[in-house]
Amino acid sequence: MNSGSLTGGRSWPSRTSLTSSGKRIQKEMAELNTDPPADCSAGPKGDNLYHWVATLFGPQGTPYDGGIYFLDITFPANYPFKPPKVVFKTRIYHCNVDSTGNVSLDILEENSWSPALTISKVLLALRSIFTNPNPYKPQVPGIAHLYLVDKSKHDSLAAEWTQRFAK
Amino acid sequence: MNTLDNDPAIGGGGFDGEKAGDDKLEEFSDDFKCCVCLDLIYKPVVLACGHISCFWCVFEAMDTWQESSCPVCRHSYNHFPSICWLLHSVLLKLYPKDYQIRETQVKEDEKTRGTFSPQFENYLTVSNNNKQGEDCSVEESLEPDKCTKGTPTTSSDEISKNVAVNDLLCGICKELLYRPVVLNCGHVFCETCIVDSSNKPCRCPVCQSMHPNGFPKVCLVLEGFLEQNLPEEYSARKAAINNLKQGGSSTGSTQVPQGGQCSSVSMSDYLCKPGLKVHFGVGCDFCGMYPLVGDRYKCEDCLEDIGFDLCEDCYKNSSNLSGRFNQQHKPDHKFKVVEPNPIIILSSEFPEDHTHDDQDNQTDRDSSDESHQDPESDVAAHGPTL
Repeated sequence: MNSGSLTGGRSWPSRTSLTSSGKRIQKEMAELNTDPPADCSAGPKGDNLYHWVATLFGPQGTPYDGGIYFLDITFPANYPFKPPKVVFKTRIYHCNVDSTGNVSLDILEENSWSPALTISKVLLALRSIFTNPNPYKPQVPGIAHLYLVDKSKHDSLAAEWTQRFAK
Repeated sequence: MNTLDNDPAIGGGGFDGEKAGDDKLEEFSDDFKCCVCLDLIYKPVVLACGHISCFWCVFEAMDTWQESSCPVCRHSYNHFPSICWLLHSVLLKLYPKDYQIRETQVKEDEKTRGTFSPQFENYLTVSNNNKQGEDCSVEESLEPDKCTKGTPTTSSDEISKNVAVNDLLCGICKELLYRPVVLNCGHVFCETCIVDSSNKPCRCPVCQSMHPNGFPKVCLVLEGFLEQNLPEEYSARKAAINNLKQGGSSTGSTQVPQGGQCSSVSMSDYLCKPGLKVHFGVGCDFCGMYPLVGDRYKCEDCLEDIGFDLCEDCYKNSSNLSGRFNQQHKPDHKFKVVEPNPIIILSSEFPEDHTHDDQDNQTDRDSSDESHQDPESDVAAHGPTL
């Protein structure tokens, strides 16, 4: 069982089509509507099923409390076999999110992604980095350093950014 | 927030339609929802860890370049298991409407892609004559005789919606499955039966094919289904087996041998070994090994794009050869040995690090010996040993 060239990657017949990934995205949309996760929402941006917008509310007890964060989610054509791309559109002072909005989150990396993960699980994971930043795998080493050596200063800066950008 | 308020209007069309459609269908249990496509599992494949997905979903989620891992538990595997026909017929009986809808969906998908998945012999006995005729007209239909033979002997009315004990028997003890395990070949047995009957390598007692990498884990979804739907029968089986255990040897028949749980060599080590022939992107059509490691026997007579390939073990041992994707492979087809495409750039970096290691020297030498031979001289002039 082999077909096609190796440069094409997979030699067994490739199956993912826009319809099967589209179907899966639609299913997720339905699930998000019937059983929305707490303090976040997500849905297509326009008429393109593969381009979503999500919102996260900064959790209480964190310097991000009260902030509303917008995210862009782009699904690859072979979703769910490849992870979606998630970018913060709202600026945030966080060691795992850089100034252009790129997030370092293990489950969004190609090697750690699993097709059993869904957007609602991704949002849950993103919410968890609000409460528990991972300074050991930072996107912005400076913030990570401050988080480790002077957490109160880090928190006040983060709260200031929340006031400035996320409200 | 504004953008989100607009969403229902935009996505609404397909969304509402789907909801309306759902109402007409049977509500299928979340247990039988494929974790990849989020739909009813169609043509179930059970991985060695016991998790179930659709045939195409498992296939698509597999990794071309290395061992694959279960989408749910990340348990690694390097063989694409065959479809579990027992579960297939259970699902067909449980949710005839939904399952048939999935069937038509997948068939359409396959048609547009020009791909095929294995067909079940008593396949969709509920489907009407019209459809059966359609099946036969498909050129690539592997067994045309089976299509005609498979004309519905049982009408949909006769098929009870409730799955009976007879649908859930172990291939060995012929009783209701207790702690069911599904082998790589797709056959289902009680955990106790399979552990008792086979010693070190796990071989299917029905089709004689090997189950790679130790013993499979109990398929918990199927077990849960048995417990829920046949509670009396299942607890009776449980009691009977526990009695047997107490009376019999204390070696604990449900105890899976420790060595059997994991493969002796971790797959990634295995794939990185220098000199090892790894055919990336190629799988064995019999045992499902993917990527195929070792000598690759390619069928010269199969015309399908997918091709038909066997690993060395299957080439030498298998008597019953059928393609994973319904290739029309016949026993008289000729095979030739094909060398892997050279992606050795990767592994050629390793020998230096390993030259002090005797074992690796050995494999290096072996491979260099082999590479002196002209691959064409390896052409097997005969068919598979039957």
